[in-house]
Amino acid sequence: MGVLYLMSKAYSHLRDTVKGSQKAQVEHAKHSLLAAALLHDVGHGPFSHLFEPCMGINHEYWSIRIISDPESCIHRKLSKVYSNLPTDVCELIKGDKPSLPRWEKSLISSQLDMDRMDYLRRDSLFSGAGYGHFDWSRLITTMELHENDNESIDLVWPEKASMSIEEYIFARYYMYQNVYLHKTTRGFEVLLQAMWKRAKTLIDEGSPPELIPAIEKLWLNDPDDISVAEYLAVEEHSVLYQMQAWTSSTDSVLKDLATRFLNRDGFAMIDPPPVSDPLTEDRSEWESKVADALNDKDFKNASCYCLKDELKAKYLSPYRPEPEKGLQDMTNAIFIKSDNGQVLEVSESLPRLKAVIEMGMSSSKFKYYVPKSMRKIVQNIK
Amino acid sequence: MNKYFLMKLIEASGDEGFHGRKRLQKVVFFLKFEGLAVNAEYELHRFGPYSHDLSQACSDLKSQDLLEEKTSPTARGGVEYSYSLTTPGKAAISHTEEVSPTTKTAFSLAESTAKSLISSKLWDLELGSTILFYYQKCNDWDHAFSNACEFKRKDSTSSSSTSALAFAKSFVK
Repeated sequence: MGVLYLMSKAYSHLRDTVKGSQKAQVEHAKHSLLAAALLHDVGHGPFSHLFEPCMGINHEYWSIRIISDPESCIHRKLSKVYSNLPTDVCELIKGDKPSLPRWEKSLISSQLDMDRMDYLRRDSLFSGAGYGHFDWSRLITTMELHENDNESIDLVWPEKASMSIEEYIFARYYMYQNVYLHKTTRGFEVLLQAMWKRAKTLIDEGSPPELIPAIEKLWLNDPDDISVAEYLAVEEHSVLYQMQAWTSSTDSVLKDLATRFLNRDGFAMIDPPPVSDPLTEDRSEWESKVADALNDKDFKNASCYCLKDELKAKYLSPYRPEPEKGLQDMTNAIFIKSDNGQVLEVSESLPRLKAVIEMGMSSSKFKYYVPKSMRKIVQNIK
Repeated sequence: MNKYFLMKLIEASGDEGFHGRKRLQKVVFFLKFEGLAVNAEYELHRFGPYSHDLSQACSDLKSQDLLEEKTSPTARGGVEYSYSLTTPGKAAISHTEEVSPTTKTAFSLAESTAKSLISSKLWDLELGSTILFYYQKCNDWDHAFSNACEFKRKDSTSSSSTSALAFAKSFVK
């Protein structure tokens, strides 16, 4: 709903400010833009992104399935507006159709899209963090359409909006550093994934743990063989009930991981020692020593208790223009249009951004998580 | 990105080094498609599939003095990048092969494909990888081919386009 609200503001602003043939293009895109804003994440399963790796859910796949399914009420409602609207919305969400206008794609998915603007503010509010604030209204009411020489129309901002863009990028930076990538958050994520991975191992080994029917159906079948209704039957309370059931599992590891998760007994973060081989970045020797230490303390299944977490470089940077200028593209960078009509990638006019951009130019970082009782022992392993 | 595979790819290009960033991006894309565990995510970019992870790995290796990047002007007034291994880079490969023989074997299995890709026509790599990128999503050659040609603004009936399609198809068993 928040994305729809911001998109409706952006749409109204563009409709009222652009002129000539662009105006007709904007008006033509109204329904697909607003519907895509509302529905782009309709395929999210329980606990959204957090839970996707646990059951192998791809929310975009399900968003498309739900919108495309003639039996779904969403499809029926959209079709009533005009018959091809479900298809238009799906194409906008997928974003890979070459003829899709770039400004439309940018509003739905880019480095400064309505979704990012919405979730940043929402997560800031609900996490209680003092970060994540920026002048969203200024960003929306200053955006412009810019016609490139190669006949594409792109979203750009005038110089007067550059401070608001900078504020938005820094807001993202603070939220990532303090909320999204916080060690406690990540620790619970890897614990959750370890729990479901353990359950999958037991299934693969022929001794499946108790599974509720809706989860069994979704988890153990190919997505193409699952109906939209069957997918939608798995909700947050299904997953919570499932994990509650595992707290009395006959498998001691699954029982322990589920109990720890539900009792908020998260793992402790450990910085691994530097790698000796820069090409493979292999830490298997250290991991093996950690496994031995875990075994000594009765954590018999070390792979479930020494959890590796990769913080990919793209998540360490709040904004990633292309490192190679020649590859700079209007859809993957934010552009400022100067008063003399020149269009520049935003960090070229705002040098202060270079520091946070460089954060994303470093390699992925690895952290490990172990039970809190093992923290000091593992920290001393070199 | 598996940096050992990247270094071996540069090594496989011979004494003259590996020429072209675009070629490098596409060759790694095809190797990934062939099943080599390069650990690089790809997205569609101006010239076709592009990996930030690969670009980042090149930067890391340069800063570690394991890889050398040279530039030379092209006839069209642009810049061509070429890559070669430094002496510490060659030593790093030997070290990895000593401590991790399975990694060495994994690349050996892909080496002949890598060499063949390195010497392929750039356009086959560029349009071919774009066709494959779309094909992975829709599993339909006609759809993938028309989308790729539209994306690259290229006439789908031209011989170079159909050649790239045949090139792409040769990677799907």
